Amino acid sequence: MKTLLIIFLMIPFSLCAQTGSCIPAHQFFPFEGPWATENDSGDITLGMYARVSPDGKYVLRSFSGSNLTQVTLMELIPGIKNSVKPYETPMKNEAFPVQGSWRYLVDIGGEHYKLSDILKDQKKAKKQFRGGIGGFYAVAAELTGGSASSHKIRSLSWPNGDPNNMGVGVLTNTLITAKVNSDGSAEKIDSSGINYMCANMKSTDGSAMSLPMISPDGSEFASMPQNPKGSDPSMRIYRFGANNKDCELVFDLGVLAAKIIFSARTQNQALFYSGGSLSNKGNGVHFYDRDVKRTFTLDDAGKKVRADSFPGYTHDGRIVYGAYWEECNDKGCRDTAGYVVSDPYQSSDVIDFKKEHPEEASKFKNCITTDDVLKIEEEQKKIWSYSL
Amino acid sequence: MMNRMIKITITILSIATTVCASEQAPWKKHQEEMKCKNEFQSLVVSAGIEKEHFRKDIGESYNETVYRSIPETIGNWAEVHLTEKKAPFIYKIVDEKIMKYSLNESCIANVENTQWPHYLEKILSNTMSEDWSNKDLKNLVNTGKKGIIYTWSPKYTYSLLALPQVQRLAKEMGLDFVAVVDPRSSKKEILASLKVLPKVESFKFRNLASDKKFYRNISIDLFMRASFNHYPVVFAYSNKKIHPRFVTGLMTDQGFKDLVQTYAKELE
Repeated sequence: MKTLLIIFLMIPFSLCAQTGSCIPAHQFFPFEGPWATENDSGDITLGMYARVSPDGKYVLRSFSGSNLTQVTLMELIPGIKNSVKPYETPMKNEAFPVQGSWRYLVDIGGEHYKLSDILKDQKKAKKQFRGGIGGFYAVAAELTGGSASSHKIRSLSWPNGDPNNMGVGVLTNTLITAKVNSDGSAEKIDSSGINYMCANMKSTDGSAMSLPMISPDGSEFASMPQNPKGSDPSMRIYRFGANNKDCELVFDLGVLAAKIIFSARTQNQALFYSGGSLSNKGNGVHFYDRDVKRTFTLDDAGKKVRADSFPGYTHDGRIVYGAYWEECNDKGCRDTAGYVVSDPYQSSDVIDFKKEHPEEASKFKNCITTDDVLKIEEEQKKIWSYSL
Repeated sequence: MMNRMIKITITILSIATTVCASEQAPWKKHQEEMKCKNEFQSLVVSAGIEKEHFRKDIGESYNETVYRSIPETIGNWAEVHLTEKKAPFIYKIVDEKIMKYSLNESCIANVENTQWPHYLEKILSNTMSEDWSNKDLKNLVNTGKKGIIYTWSPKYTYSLLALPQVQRLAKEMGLDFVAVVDPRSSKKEILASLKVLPKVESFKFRNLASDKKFYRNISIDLFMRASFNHYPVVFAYSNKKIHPRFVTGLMTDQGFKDLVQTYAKELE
């Protein structure tokens, strides 16, 4: 009887997939199995740091507890019961993707790996090349205009180099050019050296920047000046100057927040976690729309979701985040850890905004469709084929 | 003498602009569209927050503006919530109790005890013998000594790996040092991660952070200072006050020293 009911419930979803209808407002992927060790509270000991692939299929994830410093690649697998499959990696701490394309995953020493090698060989995956900026809090993005065979990557870190003559807390970036050979192997063919940044902002934003994050096209970055002059510390977005050293303020979010995650350029939004106010609403995930200049909140979906501090955007606009939530049945409620995939357009906050401000809200579609998701998945498959 | 006076004046002014970029009664900018404007002013007075300084915080919907106070007294906080076409309301925290000051449709005031948001309730209801609360924070800061509070989380790898560095820097700077840990982590998780640390860093635990002992930060005051957004965060205290600004994330030795020394000096 139960099986029949499940099949009956599944039919509309599979039909939806064929017709390109709306994806669910929230999808929950519990993380269970041998890697999901429970602690004494019954919680799963995951780290907060997570980075989401452009198609939302993978999450690069750090661990906590006895697995501290380890990094896994988590595959989100949809099904009758959604699940999460971890792949081990040779990377440590806050390893990061080359954003925009996710053509490479990068260890903190600058070792670039192909995603297909990680999936196939896991810990034994071989690096393609070493390059880009080192140091902690490093991030990277593939600049627009590249191709499968040749591409430029900008990496950003903070701080780096000799503090005695380079300033302290200053951001640094470097540009490398990489090429993929006909056999699928990749190599670095050029590097710009280290650019020490934002000296031009010292009189207003001070010389200590924190929480850097780069946009997927590598043209902008977000950071929070720690001790600005004449203004409160707040998360801000800057453009890389033409000389790769100057920083141009684009806008000031005006509030304290965790790291900013940029959407695809067409969506023009900035995603972030904030501990939030004392209201009993939302789950900590917020996004600022740079066109309508408003900050929206993801609702809780009744599961008392406690989101992690590193949400991510897919290229079609879905928001993916690690979280803990309550699963309730006849026997009561239990905490579950894993990932949530939310459609921001179906959040009650965006729906309310559309009702109240239909003209301003004209850029917001009704929902992300299964066709939108399929299109991005196909594009990403081509990149990860590493074929010319 | 004159030059010295000018220098002192410039120093005082620069400190004032650095620390006090926030403002008093920022809701006055919204009075045009505010419902129950006059009654709200009375509510502000009855909550006793008219002289507090505020800075903007994240609202919980697209049309909500929130201002959070930057208190002089540890543990006393206020949050003002302004929503388009609705009467504003205030949350006030005193001695770890939260009160809501609101106005009904007829602009009549109501004051009631209210609940913490579910994510805080979860933390506060799960007590441990290692809990480190507002009371501990007050005891520490009220000594009048100079020191730093290091907040770390086993869920943020770098925040644990940097613990030895910051502990060393505090010693070099002659500052007291206390490390407190993310209350969203369990005891097992915290202890397991502390066992990993000596494997990757040469390190001796000193004062309140050891592989068998830790302090779980349930201080609402530190939460209100936005310390849950990211780890590590370092607060400087001196002269019985905590600096409203803090150090977020890892720094070079010199960068860390410069910021902490600046904050400590401004507290004198």
